[in-house]
Amino acid sequence: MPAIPIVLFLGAWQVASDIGAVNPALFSSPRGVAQALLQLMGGEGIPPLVMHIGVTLRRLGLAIVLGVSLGGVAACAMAFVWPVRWLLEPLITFCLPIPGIALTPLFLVWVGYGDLCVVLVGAVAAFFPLAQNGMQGFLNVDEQLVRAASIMGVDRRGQLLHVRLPCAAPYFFLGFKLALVRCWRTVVAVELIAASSWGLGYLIWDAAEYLQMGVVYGGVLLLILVFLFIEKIVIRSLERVSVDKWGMVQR
Amino acid sequence: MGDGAAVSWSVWMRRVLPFVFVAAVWEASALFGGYDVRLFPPPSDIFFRLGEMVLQGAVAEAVLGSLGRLLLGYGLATFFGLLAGVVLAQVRVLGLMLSPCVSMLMAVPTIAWVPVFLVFLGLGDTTVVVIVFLGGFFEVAYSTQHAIATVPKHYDYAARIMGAGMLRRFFFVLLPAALPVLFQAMRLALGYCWRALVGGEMLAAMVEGGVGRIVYDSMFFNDVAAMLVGLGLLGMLGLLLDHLLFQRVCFLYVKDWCNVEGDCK
Repeated sequence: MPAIPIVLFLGAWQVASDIGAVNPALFSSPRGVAQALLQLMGGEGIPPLVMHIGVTLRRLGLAIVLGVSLGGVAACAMAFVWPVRWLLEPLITFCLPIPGIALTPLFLVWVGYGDLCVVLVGAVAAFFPLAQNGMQGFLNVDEQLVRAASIMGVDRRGQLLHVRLPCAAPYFFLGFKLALVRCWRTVVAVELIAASSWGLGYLIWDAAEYLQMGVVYGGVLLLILVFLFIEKIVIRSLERVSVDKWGMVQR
Repeated sequence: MGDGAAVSWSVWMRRVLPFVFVAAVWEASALFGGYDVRLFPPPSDIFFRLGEMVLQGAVAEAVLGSLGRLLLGYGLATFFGLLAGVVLAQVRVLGLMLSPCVSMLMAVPTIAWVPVFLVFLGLGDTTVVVIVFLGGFFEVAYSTQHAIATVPKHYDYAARIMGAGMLRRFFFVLLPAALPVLFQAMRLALGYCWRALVGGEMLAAMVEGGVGRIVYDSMFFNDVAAMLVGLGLLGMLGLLLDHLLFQRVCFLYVKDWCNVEGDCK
């Protein structure tokens, strides 16, 4: 059912381009996009298209692992050590509205063009949502539950592992979701500026410079597909094995 | 905030002192650390550079330029987003036809539109405003549609039984019921527009001043101090905008409907 409007839209686009209602050089056409993508699938060895997607996903993966692990550590430190919280909370509030892409020039000066720059900026973008939400999660734990566990003879380690952590887990999950989305957007954005050879952002930027609009729209389409894959498949299945199963979220 | 001296002292302790502390450590490490301060300038250098830029008028020009573009793009995005959302929610055929397209286009990182519009419109203000518009439009349209579609039907029926006409039902029943969600969406959209503005200015502004432009241009001169000035301005403006437009509005108008999430202190 939801495919019908999209098919209609593509059909209208193709017709408009064929009869010359829009300039095919600027608007391309679904056929042009398909040809551009097919061309990128050809060639010796690994097709360039797969390589572009793979490189972007690898950068995303590295960035998210780095950002999320640092963010998790920061969240725990802020929740349990008050001087850390006093120090970091205002800094994080201040840094949150700074878009990830704005950090690109800074990291370009520090580490130069290439993978490292993309991964670091992506990691910074992933760090803040996780640190903030994780800390909120620990702070929102119902102290009554902790006291109940302590009366029943659970030691501090058990309280942390079996009471505090499960209570904070949905917040961590929310933070992770936000982090993943922000990280994805940031990685693509940074690739526009700072990638030296591969990646979807680089593909789009490079094609726009040479006015290969088929490739540009094809790249945007791929961005949509990859994002839908991340959102609908990766996040959904993570939710199914975590927050859904724990019964933490009412649907 | 309260007016007692004790309150303002504790706010001072919580909000400002951490920055002073970090700045002091940073300054000391720059003095004794032995690394290249051109790559990681200490706060004193940054403030010096800020002073220079304020005197040159670069800061005022950039802030005003950025705010103008943001408010234009955001205003257009909110207006047309609300309009589109209402139409999609009220006209069922259009809603069924277009909402898959809206949710598909929402998945595109806004910044990826920059190359597309650079080809159509070239470098310059128009491109940036269009990018800002796109950054907020889909979010507002999508949320408006859902907010209006999920208002419980019996509100509408009750008003209809009591003889309210279509316009009256829309303005006095549907819209107020959807408003908390709409505010939430507009707040999110402001954040998206803000990000889009910075990205757009970095990639698509030509000669016009802008805060994103400060950050990007100083890269070519390896002027890290100016870059950090720009980043500081971005952080402050972002906080200020959110605070002025939403926490204040929230506080004044929507706090009675307690289902607004977020910090309406």
